[in-house]
Amino acid sequence: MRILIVEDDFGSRVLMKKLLSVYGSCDVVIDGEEAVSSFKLAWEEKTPYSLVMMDIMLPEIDGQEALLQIRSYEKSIGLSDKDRVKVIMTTALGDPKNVVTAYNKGEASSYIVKPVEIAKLREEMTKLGFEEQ
Amino acid sequence: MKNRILIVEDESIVALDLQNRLESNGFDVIDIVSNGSRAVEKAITEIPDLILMDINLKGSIDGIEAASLIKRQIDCAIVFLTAFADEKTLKKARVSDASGYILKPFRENELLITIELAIKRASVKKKIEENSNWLYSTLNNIQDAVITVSNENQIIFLNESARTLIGENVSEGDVFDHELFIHVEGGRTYFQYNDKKTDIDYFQTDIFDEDKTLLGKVHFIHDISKQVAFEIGLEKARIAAENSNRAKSDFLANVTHELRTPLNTIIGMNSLISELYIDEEVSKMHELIGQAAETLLRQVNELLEFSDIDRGQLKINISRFSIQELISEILGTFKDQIELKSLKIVDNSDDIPLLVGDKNKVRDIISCLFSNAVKFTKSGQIRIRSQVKENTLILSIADTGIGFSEEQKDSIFNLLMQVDGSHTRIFGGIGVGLSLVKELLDLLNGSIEVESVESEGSQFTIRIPIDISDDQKSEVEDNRKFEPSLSSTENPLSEYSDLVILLKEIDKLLIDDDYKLIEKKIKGYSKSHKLIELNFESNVLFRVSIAMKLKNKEKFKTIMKEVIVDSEKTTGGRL
Repeated sequence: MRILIVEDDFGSRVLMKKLLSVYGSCDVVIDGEEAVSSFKLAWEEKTPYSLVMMDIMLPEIDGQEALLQIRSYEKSIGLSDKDRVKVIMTTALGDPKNVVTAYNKGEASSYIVKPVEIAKLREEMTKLGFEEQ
Repeated sequence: MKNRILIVEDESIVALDLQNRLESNGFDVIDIVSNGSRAVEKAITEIPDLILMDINLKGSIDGIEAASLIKRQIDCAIVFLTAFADEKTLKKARVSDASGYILKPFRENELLITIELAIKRASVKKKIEENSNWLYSTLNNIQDAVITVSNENQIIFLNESARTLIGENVSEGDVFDHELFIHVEGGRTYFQYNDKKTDIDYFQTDIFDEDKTLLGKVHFIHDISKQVAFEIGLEKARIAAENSNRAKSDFLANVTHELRTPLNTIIGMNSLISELYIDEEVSKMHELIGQAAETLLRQVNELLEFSDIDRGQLKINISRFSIQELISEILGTFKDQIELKSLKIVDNSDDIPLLVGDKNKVRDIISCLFSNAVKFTKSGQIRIRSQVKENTLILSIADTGIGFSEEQKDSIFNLLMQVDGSHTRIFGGIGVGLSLVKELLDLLNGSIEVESVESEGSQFTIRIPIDISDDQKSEVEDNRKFEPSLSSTENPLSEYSDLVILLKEIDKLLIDDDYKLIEKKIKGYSKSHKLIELNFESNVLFRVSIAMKLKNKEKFKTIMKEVIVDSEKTTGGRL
């Protein structure tokens, strides 16, 4: 199972990778632009990601924008809704309004507020159908 | 315009004669009637300028009665014609307010003069009435109360506003003694009527006739209660705002203190950890914790300094300092970021002697501006120029960064404003910076000028009053100056930072190589040249591989630079 982590803070990257490595092999990128490129390349190499863990606040293009581009790409390759990659948005912002915006538009699968509570993360992963390996 | 005349005369010969004479003298005879009732009818419908009315008329009403009936309805001059000059008739005529009389038989010029005079008088009377109406209208429509009284304080005239103020049932003739109503108390003038106290502006003036005899007074009373209420409200709002501001400042100061306390524990404890024996993995975590805590501490300090200024608690400390040293120090702080972006730093400063001023605040100002310059410039150069002219330190920092527009120029000094306020947070930080700079400059009586062109760059110039130190003997200097220039192959390798050396090597790499091979090559080079130990984490290789697959050489180099800089931080040393 491939997981793509998109996180621009060094410390958070290390943490996320540690937490998610039990679910599958993790690739880490640091901005929205890299996220979209990696996602597309993964499909082209026929080993797509099953999960994207992405922060909303990112350099180059932000999480919301990157998410839209990913969804748009999935549509262009003819993926049905149920086959789309699962996306968990993370945010350190006090009010999750921006997260909820993405969530409500149906593009993200779930959201988590930083600092991440490990138990909460595990709960979300289970909900989305991922199991520890 | 011909004057229009109605002839009321029952003797037709006299009537026709009159008509002839009038018409040949330029008057327009509109009609001839022979009795009073017809006269009234005609007058009301035709509204002549003048009526020549015979007093003795056949019919139910005579000329005088007809005249009074007409006068009730319309305004026109009436000249009586009468054959009799007896007392009784004349008396009757006088009472009726005629404009003139003519005795029959009459001479032509007598006729004409009387008519002219009559018309003239009527027109003057009309004018006077009009003016009077205008005057009364004006007085009754102004908001101020106007009361004219005689010398015995009897009301001669009062306008509508006065009636409202004093009472509807007051009228001309009543006594109005202003001293009963108008009081001055505690700097305010009041109008007191029954239980109602109104704030007013009061003014009175005497009225004299042309012989300078005092005829009476005019009182002007201007109601200012609305204004007073507004002012009171304004004062309340101002106090409320001040209180709110103070509460906010106290809150801010409190919050930042609350934030700093645990931070100190984190930083302190974390540094103690490094003294214990810990394995590599824990050591890395410890390093990361430390860095994150330092960053947080920096932001909190910026916030705290800002709130200190806000509450007026920041003091000025004077000491001797060297501006060059300050600049060097600041450049040193940003060394990594400068190298990462390969920015060229140019210092065009004059040779400036030791200065006397608030070193720390000056440092904070320059540091903040420089931080912005580095932050907002992706590539190119930053030029610093400092000079001292007429006891003023003039320092400018110019960059080739993203700049900002005219509209944004005004708001960049606002708290929390960053040029790019969206989530595309390329540039990090919380945006207290420039407003802090402004506050510090205000404290030092300095000023700042800004120029910018979008996508081309910006220039910030500060001016701070400063003195040149009398004692120019420099203290022992710190020789660790940062020199970011990358040129000159004459310098031995050890003069360059490891980053620079490695970057040159990376430039030679081919993007078509296998990335594992690249890792090997670079690590090998670093080892053989006794440079830093490079730490390629697996996620870096992943990102590099993406960049290579997309044939993005720029991205590739950027990632490699990051690796080198990060390695310097985490592994911390040469092999």
